[in-house]
Amino acid sequence: MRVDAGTSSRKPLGLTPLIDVIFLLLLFFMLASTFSTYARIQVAGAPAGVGVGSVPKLLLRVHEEGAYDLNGVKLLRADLSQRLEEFAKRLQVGTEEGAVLPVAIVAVGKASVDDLVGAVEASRGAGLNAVLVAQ
Amino acid sequence: MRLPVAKKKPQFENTIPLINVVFLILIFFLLAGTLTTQDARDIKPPETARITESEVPDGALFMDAGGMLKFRGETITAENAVHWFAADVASAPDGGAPVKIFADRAAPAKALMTVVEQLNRANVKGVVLITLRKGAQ
Repeated sequence: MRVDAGTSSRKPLGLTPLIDVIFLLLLFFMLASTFSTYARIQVAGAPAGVGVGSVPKLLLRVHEEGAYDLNGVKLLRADLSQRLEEFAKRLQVGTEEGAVLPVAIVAVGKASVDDLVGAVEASRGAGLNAVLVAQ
Repeated sequence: MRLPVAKKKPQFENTIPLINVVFLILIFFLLAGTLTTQDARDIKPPETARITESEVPDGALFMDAGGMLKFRGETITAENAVHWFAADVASAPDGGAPVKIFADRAAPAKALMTVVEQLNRANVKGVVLITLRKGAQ
């Protein structure tokens, strides 16, 4: 019996399925990924160097729309870092080296998370340990 | 005059540069982007400029502008969220990871403070707030 020896004309490999899959992957990653970079700030749980029971000498109250008061003195957000640094320097005198002073942060009224984060960030920048206090 | 007849080229050849480019774009998005959940896209976190420790919002507790909490795509009450994280800490051998909170910049600070306070009382390892790095967008 004679069997046909299949024609040996090889077709080139089809690329269409490959392209389909690559396009799908591309679409998925384009739609699902973001380019924002996130950071974190610790708001609870003591970082290293904070003694348990150290009583905050600073009270930073966060009011709405970027208004703050530090130990009763009214401040705007732009002045916050500078004032906190001044206080930090003054309080650092007479404390042991490397101690991180706490500052109690309280949100008042309709303060937003943005205002609160501004307060925490400024405190960290001034070398103070921000402690959030709920009312 | 007789012009030479153009040779017939196989059609698939034209697609190869296209595939190359698409591959490159694919690799770019794979490397440069980070995958986030839908929750992270609906919420605008506060911006910080000084803080540089990077973080990904995976497994975070989300708080929208109204102060509503969302966890893993579902609305959750503060009590349930605190219970969940407390149980998670108790089951983790090394005390678990800090709880991440991804709060909208317009969310009421008092609502956030309440959640942080409750988490603190539940002895979680720490609470971190996720912010957007300024200038990075």
